[in-house]
Amino acid sequence: MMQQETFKKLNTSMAWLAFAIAAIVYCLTVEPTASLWDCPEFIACGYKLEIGHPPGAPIFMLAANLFSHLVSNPSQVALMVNLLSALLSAGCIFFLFLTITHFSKKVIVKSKELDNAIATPQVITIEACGLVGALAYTFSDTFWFSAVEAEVYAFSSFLTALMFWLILKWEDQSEDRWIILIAYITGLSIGVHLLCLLCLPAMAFVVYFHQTKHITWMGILKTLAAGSLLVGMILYGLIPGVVNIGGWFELLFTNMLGCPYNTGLICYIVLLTGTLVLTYYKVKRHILKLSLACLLMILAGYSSYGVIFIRANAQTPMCENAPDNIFSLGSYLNREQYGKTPLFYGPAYCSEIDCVAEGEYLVPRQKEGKAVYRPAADSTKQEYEVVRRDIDYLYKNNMYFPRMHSSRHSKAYEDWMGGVEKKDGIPTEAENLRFFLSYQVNFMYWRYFLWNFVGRQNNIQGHGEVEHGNWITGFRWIDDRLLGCDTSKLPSDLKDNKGRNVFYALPLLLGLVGMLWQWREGREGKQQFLVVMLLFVMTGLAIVVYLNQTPLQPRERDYAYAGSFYAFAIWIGMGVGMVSEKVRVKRVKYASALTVFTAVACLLVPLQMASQTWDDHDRSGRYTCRDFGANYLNSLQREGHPIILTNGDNDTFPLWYNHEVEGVRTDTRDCNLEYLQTDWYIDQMKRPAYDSPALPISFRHEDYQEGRMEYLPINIDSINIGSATISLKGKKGLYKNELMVLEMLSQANWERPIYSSISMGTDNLSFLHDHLVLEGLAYRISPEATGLRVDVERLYDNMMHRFRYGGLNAKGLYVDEDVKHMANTHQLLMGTLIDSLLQQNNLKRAMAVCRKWQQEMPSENVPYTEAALSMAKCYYMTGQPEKGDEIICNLLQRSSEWLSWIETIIPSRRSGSLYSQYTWLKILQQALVVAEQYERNEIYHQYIKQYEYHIKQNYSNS
Amino acid sequence: MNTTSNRIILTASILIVTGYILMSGPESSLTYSQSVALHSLTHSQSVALHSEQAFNPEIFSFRRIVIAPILCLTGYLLIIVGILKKQ
Repeated sequence: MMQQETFKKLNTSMAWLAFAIAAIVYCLTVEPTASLWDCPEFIACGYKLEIGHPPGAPIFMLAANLFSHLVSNPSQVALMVNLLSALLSAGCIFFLFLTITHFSKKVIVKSKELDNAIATPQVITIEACGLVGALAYTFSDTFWFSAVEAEVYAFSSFLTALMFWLILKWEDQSEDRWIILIAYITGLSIGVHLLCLLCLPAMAFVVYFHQTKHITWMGILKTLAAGSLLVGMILYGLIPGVVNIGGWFELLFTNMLGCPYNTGLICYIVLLTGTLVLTYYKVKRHILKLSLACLLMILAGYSSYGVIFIRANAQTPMCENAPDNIFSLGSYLNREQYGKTPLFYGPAYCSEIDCVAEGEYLVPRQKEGKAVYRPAADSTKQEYEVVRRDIDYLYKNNMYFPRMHSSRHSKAYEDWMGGVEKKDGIPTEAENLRFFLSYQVNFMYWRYFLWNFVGRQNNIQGHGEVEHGNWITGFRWIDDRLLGCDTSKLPSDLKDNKGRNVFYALPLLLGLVGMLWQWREGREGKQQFLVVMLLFVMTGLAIVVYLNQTPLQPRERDYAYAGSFYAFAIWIGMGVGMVSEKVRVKRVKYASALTVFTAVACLLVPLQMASQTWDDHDRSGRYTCRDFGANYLNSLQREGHPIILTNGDNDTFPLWYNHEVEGVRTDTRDCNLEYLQTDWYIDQMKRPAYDSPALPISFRHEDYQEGRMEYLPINIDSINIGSATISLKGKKGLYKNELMVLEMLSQANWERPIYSSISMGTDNLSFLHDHLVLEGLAYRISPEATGLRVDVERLYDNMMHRFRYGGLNAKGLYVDEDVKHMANTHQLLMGTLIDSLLQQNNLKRAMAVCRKWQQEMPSENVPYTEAALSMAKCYYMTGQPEKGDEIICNLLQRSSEWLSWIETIIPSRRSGSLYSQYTWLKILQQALVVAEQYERNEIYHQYIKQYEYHIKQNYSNS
Repeated sequence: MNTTSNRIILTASILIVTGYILMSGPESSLTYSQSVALHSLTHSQSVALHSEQAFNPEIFSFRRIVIAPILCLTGYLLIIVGILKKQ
């Protein structure tokens, strides 16, 4: 028996134990520097209070800022911000433990016994529930991923867990202060990530069940509506509303009364706060007073956007969307940059814009929306001008609940669906729902859910192929059927993929058992079930409906649904209760011993998960993002303040990180082509940053202001810059960013070097292709139009002396797909370099490059690709055939494994794997050509038969 | 809410406002004359930059990116203490 007080103490200590385990695990596996995607940006935002992508995360910035100052060396800053995530994630586990034991205690200990001592077996079961659930979540894929990098998701998980636990605290104590605190955390969470708002409806359920004696389905429905309304009011009312009204004040004070900028804003803030505080003291009714207190506290949390506004006004070098006035702050908060996604009614991807005849022309019908204000372009004037109006085009045919909405993704939709049946030019509602269920719900939600609780095939991003990122169970007979292939013949690349995790569906089963048990344990259990279920749905499927995603997402999106996996982890914990009860009922005599036995057995579930997920979440020793970012910058020549044009996330943010945090090559400037389409970015490029002078753009703000110069039709074939001619043949017009690049080239007049990042892709700036000179991870744009050239001297110097390789030579390093892609880019460069050196007959240098490759990017960490064939050739030419054979055999072996496995895929699913098949067939062929060329007859004869066989297979299928 | 808790929240608000005031200041690019005055750059140094403006590193001063945000964060955390303070 255990007294209530002792139990409380034990429970809290166990929660701290869960915290400690999670904290140690995350600190051991944390990435020691910046990670890919948005992390480098977030670290710079925290460290130097700069402005990241909309809608910003000021509270995250403040916390990250504090952590970044705990070290004096800038190279440690990233680690500190990552550790912030690690500790917040451990905090989330702490509250998860308390939440599970709160629920399981109420189910296990019946309410009439609540004041008495608790029997020992019951205590053990409750604590086991907490520990198993909390640890299962600790070691789950999605949550662990965010816990070891500088993203907002760890912080937002922590706040969600905290808010959910606070409402349970309120359930126990019924004190107003918990409600007010929840309101305040809600306000703060706006400054981290809006995901946290989604737990409010579940809280409304807790309140309803607590306050009402007679629970009815009608009451439940009303509560659901009220909870959703609350989220809607904050999301669509409060957040944009507060800023919009601020805009009215600014217009009144600046445009009508002629006051300086921001006078109206300050008056508005004072007036709003004053009115609310005074009303709070005036009102007497309890419910009104509480509501006002909550509103005030939400606004207090929301006030963190002051950081964004003030720092944007400091014009930091990194200042996305420049939210330096109330109107652009509004656009920033509403994430207008990303465009609108229809939810309930709107056009389908193939809807046509409605046109009306106007004279000789057909003019699209459009609806003018609200005016967009910005400060006057002429800086001598103090007033806001309307720069444009929002325009909504009207479509001929709209549909309800449009799921295939993006016209840019027409082909992707049709490919996914294998053809779309249409009526009146738009997909039928049945087809629409088929896409919703097969892609958005199944592929983009349940697949992620099952990764976490059943098993994950590998860490390669999937677009529906048999070989990429599916969920698996670990049982061959199920997986073969699921995937439609023979998994016993899996190529070693996939078999040894560290992202391959199998849990044999144990966590899922435990969770389902927990759901069942909770539902069947009387009124209390049913209520709990509904609360957790609502949390599960709101943070899972509701987000799916809201996001309305298109195929071909740039990365896997599981991180968005961590909240619903959290809810499921509660059920995993509850599952222990049912197992324990079933075991104990059979033999009452050995109750305690049996309970301990069950608890230990159930603990094996999270431990088994850890044994699978550890190797693909252990990011220790990995410096690739930092080093590769620096390599881009170090590719640029030392003199003349070079400029590098980049395009994507992963060739921009790591560069920013190096500039802003570590101060690498601040004489250079990164210029992102996507942003260069916007006026605010051009403004920023026209300012100096650190040691880099302003970019050579002579246009004035009023020339390229939003709505102007967006697209310029041209009818010239070429332009002359200095003595050079740039051909514009075949171009009908120039987008603003292309125009700016030409402007920079012509203003720089070949005196200031301009580079284009190697990852730019062939679609961008195609008119410059003949002018590119490869010097490293970037091409220099040269005046001579000689076609693509390699500057062997510079490339050699860069790859051998200036580049760093991020610790890719460390044994056991975790190389995920994105890191592998970037490493492959480096290998491709080395291959090109070796080829060029061999052409110059410089065998000594070519050998040096091979040695560097083997030493920095050994094949056990970064497997060979076809680029390694250049290295094999070099070995053969320098009389080291055994080293060449090793590469050739490796490629031949792997391609034959791949091809043999792909042929086991059932025909109906093979089309997705055609690309892999083609790639490996090409590698097989190229390796054979090299083997033949250097007379490696034994190898050649060993594989030529296989090649012929696979070629035949390929033709017979296609 | 009681008076102690109100006092704490008031203090927190003052901290936050002070933080924001300390965070403010001039922007990142200055004209010639401003930068010459601020950083006592010689005229030739400014001209060497080949631009009309000069970068102002003061936007990353200790006051603006260390003291100010720490005050703000302290304020935001103190509000939690204020809310939880029992009568």
